Amino acid sequence: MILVSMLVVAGLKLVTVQAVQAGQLSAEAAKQRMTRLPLPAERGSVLDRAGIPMAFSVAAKALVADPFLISRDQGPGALARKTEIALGVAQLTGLDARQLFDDLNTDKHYVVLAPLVEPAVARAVRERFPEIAEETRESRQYPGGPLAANIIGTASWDLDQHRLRGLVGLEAYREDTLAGIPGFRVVDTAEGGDTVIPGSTRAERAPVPGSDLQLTLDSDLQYAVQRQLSDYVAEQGAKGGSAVVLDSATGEVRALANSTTFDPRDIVAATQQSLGNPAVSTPFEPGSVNKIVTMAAALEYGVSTPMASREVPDSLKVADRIIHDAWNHPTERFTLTGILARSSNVGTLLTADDVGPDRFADMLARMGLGVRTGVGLPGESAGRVPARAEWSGSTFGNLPIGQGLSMTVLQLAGMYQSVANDGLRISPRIVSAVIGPDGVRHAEERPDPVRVVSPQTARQLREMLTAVTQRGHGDQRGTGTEAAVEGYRVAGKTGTAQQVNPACGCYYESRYWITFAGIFPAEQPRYVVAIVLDAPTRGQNASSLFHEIASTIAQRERIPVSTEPTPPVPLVLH
Amino acid sequence: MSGPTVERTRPSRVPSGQRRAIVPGPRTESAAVGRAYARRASRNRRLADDQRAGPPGRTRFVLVVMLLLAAGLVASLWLSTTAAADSYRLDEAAHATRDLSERSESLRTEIAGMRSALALAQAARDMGMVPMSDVARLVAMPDGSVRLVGTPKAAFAAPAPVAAPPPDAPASLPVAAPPPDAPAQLSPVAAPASPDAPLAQGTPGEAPPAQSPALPEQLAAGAG
Repeated sequence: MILVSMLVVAGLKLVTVQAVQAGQLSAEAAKQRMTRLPLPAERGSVLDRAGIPMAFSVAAKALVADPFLISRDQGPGALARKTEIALGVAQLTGLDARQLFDDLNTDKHYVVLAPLVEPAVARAVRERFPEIAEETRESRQYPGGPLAANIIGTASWDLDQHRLRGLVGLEAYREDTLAGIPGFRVVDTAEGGDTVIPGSTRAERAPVPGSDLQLTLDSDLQYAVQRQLSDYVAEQGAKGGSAVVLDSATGEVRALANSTTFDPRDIVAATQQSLGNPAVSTPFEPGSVNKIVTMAAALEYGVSTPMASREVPDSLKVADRIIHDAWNHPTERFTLTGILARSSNVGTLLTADDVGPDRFADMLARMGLGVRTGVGLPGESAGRVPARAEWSGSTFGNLPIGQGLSMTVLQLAGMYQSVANDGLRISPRIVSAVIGPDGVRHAEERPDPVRVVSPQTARQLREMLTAVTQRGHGDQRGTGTEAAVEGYRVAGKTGTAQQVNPACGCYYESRYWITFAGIFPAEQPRYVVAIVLDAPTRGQNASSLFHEIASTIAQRERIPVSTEPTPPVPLVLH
Repeated sequence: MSGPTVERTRPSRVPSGQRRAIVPGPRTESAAVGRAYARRASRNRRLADDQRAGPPGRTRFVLVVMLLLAAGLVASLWLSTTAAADSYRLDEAAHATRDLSERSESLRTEIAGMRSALALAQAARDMGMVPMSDVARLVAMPDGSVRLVGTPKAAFAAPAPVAAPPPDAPASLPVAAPPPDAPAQLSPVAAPASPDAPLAQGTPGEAPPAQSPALPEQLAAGAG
């Protein structure tokens, strides 16, 4: 009877285990031995236009340890062992032994001794000190250091996601393109360990490596512009500055520099301010470089011609204010070219009055002001142009001379690109193509060109802008002669604008934005350069910096010199 | 498989045949019977010959089998030894591949560092080279003559690349002179206008007035 009862009980239990609990128990068993191994996807590189890597990834290892376990296993000799490990790891990795010892001399269960070491070094460490384990990482390399750092940004290892993640710049903005898709492998592992049982792969998805980003930047030119800008900003005692170089035919950004930058290899030392990209994120009031809008409208609508002359007094009353020229002069007869080359505020306002506010507003829009360029960089500002409906009587006395509206240095370059490109504006772009993991190059979508002015108007504007660098005598001298490059014709425009004091909502009395925009060379434009300096204290002109950049371009691109003499253009008629 | 079968069947036939041959029928001695007996005898002889020839063939067969087994054993040993040796070689090759790929990656990093603009500029500086923005150029004219464009001058290792022009650069001299449109006399503005209708007091091209207060038109927000 007892035997029968036991048999029944055993039978019932058997049925329960085999039938009722079968699914749950087998799932628990599988859970115990199944491990999902992540297969990281290699992050894509960032290349310049020639394919030179500006950011790329290499395999690396992190050295980790369990100090608590070392203390427990070594007992009284733990301190000696930890000292030995610290000295040994320091010798192999070049790290600070004291810091390593401090990391080890704790009761934590997990410390990272070295976040990124070469795999061979990590192996040597592990073989010598079995207490040290290694974790697979990916190290982001920036061979150029601060070169284009404001554009590229930086990426670092994300401990939660076990992969590199972009923090700022294009590394963050194009994270999806660069990161790829990580894969996984589901395998059985030995109990209590990570040893994979051979042939136990249950499922596998191969990782898809990230795509490469090819930029339009020329890394050599970028380096030169960055260096020249930072030197010039220091020399002029400015708070900061930005410069951009565009290819005049395509609108591609060849260089984009800020005076404050950082080294992505040492992100800890970077300040919050240095991580930004003011060239696209910080608009400013452009000053006289904006006079080109009035001139373009005047020529395009047949209001005036480059050699048409008019009487220009020293000052002009607009609404309740009196606008003066920057220098005292009697009422003189200026050509339209002279008004631009001498940067006469009064002459420009008189011309703008002839053009009319509606046509002027239309030209502002055609020049791409008040709208983001869509260059492909994060944090881009659209600048600010007051809507036509919001204009008061005084607005039209401000905008033609470049006050009362704001733009980024990239937008400023875009305006002059349309003049350089025979009136066709192509919004600037900085990403040239995405190169997939299969090596296939997918060109980025190109923006549709916008017709700003006719080719003839653009040509006339370039001629007028060339007079700005004219080295005449007295009142026949342009305002940007320092921009001239011997052997070439240079078209450009100087600009100075008062800065806004946010405390009172008024303008500072002696704090300026100093700007310059130029086309090089003027006859057959190849490049457009725009510069802005923030409140320089030892100079009021950015022409010299343009000269430096244009000279560099001339040498680097071997631009043929112009052997034809530049005929002098009358600016003021006597 | 065939050997044992022969051995098993042969004795069953031979004794029956021999029994019949040894005990011939004493009844009639006809020619046909005689021939039949003769055939039987002949057959028996032949069978006896075959029986005598059996043992040497079996030995050969056994030897062949033994040889095959020995060869198989040797082959098996050789294969397992080779497999073990190959696994070591495979392991070595895997290590070599890993080392080479690590070295390749390390070299790639090194090359990328060395070809970067930053490293090249540093290398140029180390060689004593200095940046030079204004260079003179020789232009070959269509008539075969050579024309000098620009002013040749020495480059100096100045700390700042924007160095002052050397005194022998005549084209640069006018630049040093104060521009005629410098803000020598500034227009004083009596009082700032009301904040809702401000105007900048002019935007000078390259030389702004130092005292030209003006109020922005809703620009405090726009400048951000």
